[in-house]
Amino acid sequence: MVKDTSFGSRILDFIVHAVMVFVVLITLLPLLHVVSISFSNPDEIMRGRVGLWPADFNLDAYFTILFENAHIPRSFLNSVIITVIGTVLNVLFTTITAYSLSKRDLLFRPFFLMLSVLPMFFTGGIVPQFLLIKSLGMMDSVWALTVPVLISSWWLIIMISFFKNFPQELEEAAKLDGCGELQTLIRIVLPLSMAGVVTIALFYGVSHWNSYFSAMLYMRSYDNYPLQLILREIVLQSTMAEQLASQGNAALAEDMSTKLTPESVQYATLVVSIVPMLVIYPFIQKYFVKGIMIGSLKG
Amino acid sequence: MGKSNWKVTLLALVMVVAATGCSQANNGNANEPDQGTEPTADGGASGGDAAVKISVASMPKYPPNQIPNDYIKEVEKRFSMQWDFESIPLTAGIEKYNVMFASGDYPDFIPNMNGPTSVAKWASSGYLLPIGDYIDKLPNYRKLFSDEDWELLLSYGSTNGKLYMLPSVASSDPMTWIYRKDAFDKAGITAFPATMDELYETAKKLKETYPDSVPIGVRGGTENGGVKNLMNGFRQAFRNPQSSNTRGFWNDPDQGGKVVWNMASPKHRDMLAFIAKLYKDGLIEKEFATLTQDQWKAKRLTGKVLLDFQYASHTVDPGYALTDIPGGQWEYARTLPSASEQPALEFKPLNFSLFGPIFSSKLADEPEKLDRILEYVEWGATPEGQLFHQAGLENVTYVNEGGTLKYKDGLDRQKVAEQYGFDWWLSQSDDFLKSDAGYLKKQEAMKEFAANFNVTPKNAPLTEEEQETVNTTVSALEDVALQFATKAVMGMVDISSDEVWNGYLNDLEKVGLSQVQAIFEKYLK
Repeated sequence: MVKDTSFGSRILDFIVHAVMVFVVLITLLPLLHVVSISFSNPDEIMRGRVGLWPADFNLDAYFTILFENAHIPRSFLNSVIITVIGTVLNVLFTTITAYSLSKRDLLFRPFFLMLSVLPMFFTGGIVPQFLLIKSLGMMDSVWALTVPVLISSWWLIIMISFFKNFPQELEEAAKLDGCGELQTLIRIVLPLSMAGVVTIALFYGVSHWNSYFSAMLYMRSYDNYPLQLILREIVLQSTMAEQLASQGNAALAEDMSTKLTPESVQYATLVVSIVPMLVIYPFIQKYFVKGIMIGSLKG
Repeated sequence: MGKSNWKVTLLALVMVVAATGCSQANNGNANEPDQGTEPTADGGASGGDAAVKISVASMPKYPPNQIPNDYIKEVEKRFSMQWDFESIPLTAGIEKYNVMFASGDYPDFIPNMNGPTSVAKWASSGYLLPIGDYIDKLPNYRKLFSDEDWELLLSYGSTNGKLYMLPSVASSDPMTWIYRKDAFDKAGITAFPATMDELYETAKKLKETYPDSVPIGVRGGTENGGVKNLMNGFRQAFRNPQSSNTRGFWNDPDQGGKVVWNMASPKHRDMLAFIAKLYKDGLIEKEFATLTQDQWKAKRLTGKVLLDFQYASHTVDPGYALTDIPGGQWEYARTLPSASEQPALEFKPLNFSLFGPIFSSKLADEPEKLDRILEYVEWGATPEGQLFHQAGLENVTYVNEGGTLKYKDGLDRQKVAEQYGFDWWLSQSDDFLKSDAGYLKKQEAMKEFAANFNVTPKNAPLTEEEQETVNTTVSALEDVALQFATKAVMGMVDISSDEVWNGYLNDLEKVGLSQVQAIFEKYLK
C-alpha cells in the first residue's frame, strides 16, 4: 500500500486524529470523574474539590458497598447469574433458529422468516406479557428475565445472513462423513462461526447486564433484584425527594433528602456495575471486530 | 435430504414459536379470578379465626431485606391473616403498580401508597374501594384528625366526590429563617429583623463581621432547584406565598381574591428586584443556581452560612450540628419578616399527607377480608398500633429505659425498617418520639409559629384531562419563570425595566398561562 504523503493528506490525518482525540476525551473524562469521585473522601466531594483525580484518596465507598450494604453484593451476583443464563440461552436459541432459517430449502421458510421478523415491529405490550409471565409461574425468577427475550429478531437476521455465507462445501463434506444436521451445526458450523456467535453473545450480555425494567416488573423479592435496579433506586432517591416536595409533601421530601446515599457510594456502585463489561471487552475484541463486519460486504 | 429438511423444519418451528410466542402471546388469563386471594382455612379453624389470605403490596421508603419479616409475621398472627406480600419501594416508582392495575392483577391492600395522582386515576377506573364509605368502621382512625382538618382532607383526598385512600397524619415542620445565634450576638444584632430592609441591614452587618461568609445561604438542587429554594425564603415577605398543591395559583387577598399565578404577579417582580440587590452586594450565595445540596450542607457545617430559610427542626438536627465551630448555635425566627407594613403571608400547612392505605374494589364482595383489613387499620391508628409500626417489638427492636422508649443499640429507623419491616404508619407515635429532640422541636415550632400561618390553602379537584394540561403547561411555565428569575437575580436582565417584565409576561402567555389560569379559576372561588 502506497502512503499518501501530500500536504492535503497530512492535514486530513491531523483533523481526523484531532477529532478522534476529542471524541476519546469527551467519552473518557466523565468516566474518569466518576471513578475519581468513588475513590474520594465524601467531605472533599461535598466541597466540590474532586476533578479527574481523587481528592483525599480512600476506599470507604467500596467498603460500604461490599461489606455494609447487603443488597449490592447480592444484586451483583444476581446480575451475573441473569447475564450468564440469559446469554447462554440467547446464543443457543438464536444460532439454532438462524441456522435452520438460513437453509434455502427449508419448508415454509418465508412464513417462518416473517414470523421471526414480526416482533421487530409489533410486540404484545407490557400488560399481556406481565399476565403471561405471572400465569406461567415465572414471577420472581430468572426465567422471567430471560425466556421472554430468548431470541432478538435483529440478531437472528444477522446470524441468518452469517450462516448463509458459510461455505456449503464444508457442510456437504461433513454430511458425507456421516454428520446429521445438528452435528454439522455443532461440530463444523459453530466452531467456524465464533466471530458472529461471540459478537451476538456480547450484545445479548450487555443488554442483560444493563436491563432493569423487566426486573422491576417481574421481581418481587429484593434479594432477587439485579444490580441495575438497585443502582436506579439509589440514583432516583434525590429525584424522588424533589418530586415529593413539588407535590407539597414537604415533610416526606425532607425526610427522604436527608437520607440520600452518599455521592461516593452512588459512584462506587456505578463503577462496580461498569467493570464487568469493561473487563470482558478485551478478551473478545478479536472476535468482535470480525463479527461486527458481518453483512457489511456482499458476495 | 428430504428427511433432513423435515427435521430442520420442525426445529425451526419450535424455535420460532418459542421466540415469537414468548414476546407476544396473551393467554387471556386477565379475567380469571386470582387464585391467591381466596380465603383459606388455617389448620381447619373455623369462623372468625380462619386465616384469610390477602395479597398486599407495600411501597416502603426502606425496602425490607427479607420477606416475610417480623412485621408481617406479627400482623398475620394478630389479625389472622395470611399475607401474600410484595414490596415495591417508593424509589421503584409507580410503573409497576400501573401495570398491575392495568392488568387487573392488583393487590387487595396497599398500606402505604404515595401517589395521589395515580390513586385518583385508579379510583376513576374502578379499581379502588371508596374507603370513605366505611369510615364509621374506623373511629380511631377518624379521631386522628379534627373536624376542620377532616373537611380539608376530604376536599384534597377525594376523587369524584369519594375518598379512596386514608391519608396519614402529617408531622409538620415549619419553614422559617434559621440563623446563627452566636454570629448575631457577635455582630451585635439583638433581634431577628422584622422587615426586609432590616434583613438587608442585618445581612450587611454579618458580612462585615464574617467577611468569608455568605450571610444568606441557599439550599442547592438539581435543575432549577437552587433558584426555587432561594425564592422560598422571600415569597412570604412580599405577600406572594407558594401553594404547592395548586402549582402556585392562589387567591391573592391584595387583589380582591383574584386568582393569580404567583410568578406572574407584580409582587414577584418586587421580590426579584430585592433579591437581585442582595446578590449584587454579595449577601446571598453567589452559586445559588448551580450549587448542589451537598455543597450547601458543607457550607453550613463549615460556618459559611449564617442565615438560611429552612425547617425549624434543622436547629437541633445532629446532621447539621456545628460541631467544628465553638459556640456555634442555630436558632429559628418566630416570625416572618415583611416587605411592607402589612404582615407576611404564609399558607397554613396541611395536617395530613396524601400517603396511606388504599383498598381493592374487589374487597366490596369479600366482606370477611375487608373486615380483617379494617380491623388492622383501626388498630394501627391507636397509640399501641402507632408504637408497633414505628418502633417494632419491645426488647427486639426497641427498649424501655426508665419510661424512655428508644431503638436498641445499633438500630435506627432505617435498620429497623430494613431488617424487621417496621416503619411509622398512619401517624407517628407520640409515645416513641416524646424524647426525640427533632420531633419536640417541630411541635414547639408549630405552636410558636402558628400565628404566621394566615392563609388557608384551597384545593382544586381537577379532572384527569385538566390535570394533564396543568402538569404539562405549568412545568413549561415554571421553566420559563425560573430561568427568568435566575437571570433577574444575577443581573443578566434588568428587572426594573417594564419592557423586560412585559416580555417575560408575554413569554408566559405564549406557553399557556391564561389557559391554566382559566382552569384554576373554576375551582379557586
